[in-house]
Amino acid sequence: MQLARVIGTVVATMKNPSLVGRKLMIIQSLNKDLAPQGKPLVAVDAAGAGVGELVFWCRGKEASFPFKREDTPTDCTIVGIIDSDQHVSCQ
Amino acid sequence: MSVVSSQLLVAKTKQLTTELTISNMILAKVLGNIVATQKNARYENARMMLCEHITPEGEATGYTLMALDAVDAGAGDTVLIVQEGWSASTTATGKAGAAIDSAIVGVVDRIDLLENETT
Repeated sequence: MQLARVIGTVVATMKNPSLVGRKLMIIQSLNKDLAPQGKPLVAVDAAGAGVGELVFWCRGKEASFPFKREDTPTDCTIVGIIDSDQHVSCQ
Repeated sequence: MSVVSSQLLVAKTKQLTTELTISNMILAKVLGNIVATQKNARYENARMMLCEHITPEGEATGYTLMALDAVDAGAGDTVLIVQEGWSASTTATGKAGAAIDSAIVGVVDRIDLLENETT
């Protein structure tokens, strides 16, 4: 898992039927100082996150587990929302 | 290996590790914990720790990741993180098949390295 900031949303009309109704977000992974780490990614939202929120995401096969796991094509899913920037304890 | 080339190698490793997602078993230092109220149900009662990847020499690479704690690790500890979902969710929550990709599975006491293997 990694920390990330939701920096935008993606709209896609033509997509795999199992992604219908799922929110697609653009996230930027962050390091311990909450500075960008790596490139922005597209993530499927499983936590109800909004733009600007601090979240954490799961990668790989496990990313499809919050959904109907055999059917949902995702390798990057937002699985939780961090309460605030101050709730990252090394801040 | 000369001093210059080993420094280059360290710089290259740092660059790679900050750019890429590291997989496999890694060494890391625990920085602290993270509080998230709204999260996937399978994360209930698990401690989420923020960790920083380190080299075998103990040097931080700057790559930060989160892992669930399965061994009561605390801030400042050097730990072993497994980055494979099945083992991670089994060790951290007691049940496989959760949306968890990394878990702390050990607290490192000591690392022994051959002198000519250090970079």
